[in-house]
Amino acid sequence: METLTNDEVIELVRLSVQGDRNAFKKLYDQYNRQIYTLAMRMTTDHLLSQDILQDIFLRVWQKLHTFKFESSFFSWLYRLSLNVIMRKTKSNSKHTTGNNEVDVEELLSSQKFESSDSINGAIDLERALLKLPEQPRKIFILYVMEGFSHKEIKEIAGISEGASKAHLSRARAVLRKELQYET
Amino acid sequence: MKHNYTDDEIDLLYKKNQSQFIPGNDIWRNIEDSIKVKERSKNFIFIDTCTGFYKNCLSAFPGESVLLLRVAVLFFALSGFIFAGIGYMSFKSGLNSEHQYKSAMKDIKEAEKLYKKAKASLLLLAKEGKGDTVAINSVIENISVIDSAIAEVKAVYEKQPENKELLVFIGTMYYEQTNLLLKTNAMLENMENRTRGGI
Repeated sequence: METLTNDEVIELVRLSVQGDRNAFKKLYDQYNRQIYTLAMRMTTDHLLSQDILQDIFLRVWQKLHTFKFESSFFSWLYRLSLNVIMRKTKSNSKHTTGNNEVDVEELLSSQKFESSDSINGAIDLERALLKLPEQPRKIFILYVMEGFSHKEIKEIAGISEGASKAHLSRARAVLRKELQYET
Repeated sequence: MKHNYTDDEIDLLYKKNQSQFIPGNDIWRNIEDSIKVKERSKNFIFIDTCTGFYKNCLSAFPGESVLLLRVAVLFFALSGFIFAGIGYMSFKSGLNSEHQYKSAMKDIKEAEKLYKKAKASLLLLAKEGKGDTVAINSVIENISVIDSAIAEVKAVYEKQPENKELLVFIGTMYYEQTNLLLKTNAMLENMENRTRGGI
């Protein structure tokens, strides 16, 4: 899919605020994969992630008029998405621990891999991630994959910086064990 | 011998891993449906609906069936209006307790029953009155517009039972439907008076 320029995104946001659903659909097309991937990693639950994605874009439609055009639209969308994901996973925490298998078919259909090694590598990484307990997994994703600081994670996840560091350390320990290989 | 990754190596592996997941194709359709429901709830203009309804109703019924029709519609619609009003106000004022919620749901359900009876009476008497088929169909069409809107909201509500806004909307719809039937009754009364007055 063609990536939109910042000006194009801004124009689509303006049109969407005026009620243009076609423009909003283009914004959805542009960002749905990133948001869905974030939801999938945080919840490990396909159905819950779809539900979250739907909820996020419905909220975006309702709150779009509050977007100030001062920051990038994606940053705004991303923050809103994280809020929804954290709230939903909190209320659904009992449902988010059982899915320990990587959906290989979904992973393969979602991108082009250059070789079977890269496929196996991606599967191994996803599988190891699924082995993590819920909180360490969330913190690892936020810190390592999404680039947030512990201070920011404190705000997002509502835990102390110390707890965030402890979860990260635990996550790395589990991943180290899961990813070790014979030489 | 086993190789153990360092923290930095683990971080790098995951930073490089750009695997993405793709949501199902029907997600956008669900989002669009929900947007439509929200917009309809925001843009529903009672007076416009009534105006269209009256225009179609005025030519629908022959004079001799007007009195019976008015009595039936008035009875059911008035009862439904009261119940729906109570239920609607409860939803609107916020559901602070399980008891309030159940009570409001009960009122809405009662209003739904009475609305159905009022509608059935209206349609039956209109047919018995040997009215103009085209005009009667027009009345049915007007009622079914709101019916289908309610059915759509109910379908969405079944998927999102935690969404109390939808319940408020359903309550609003029944309130406005019964209100519509009350106005129909007023309109029929005017017709009757005009007939009696020889206008």
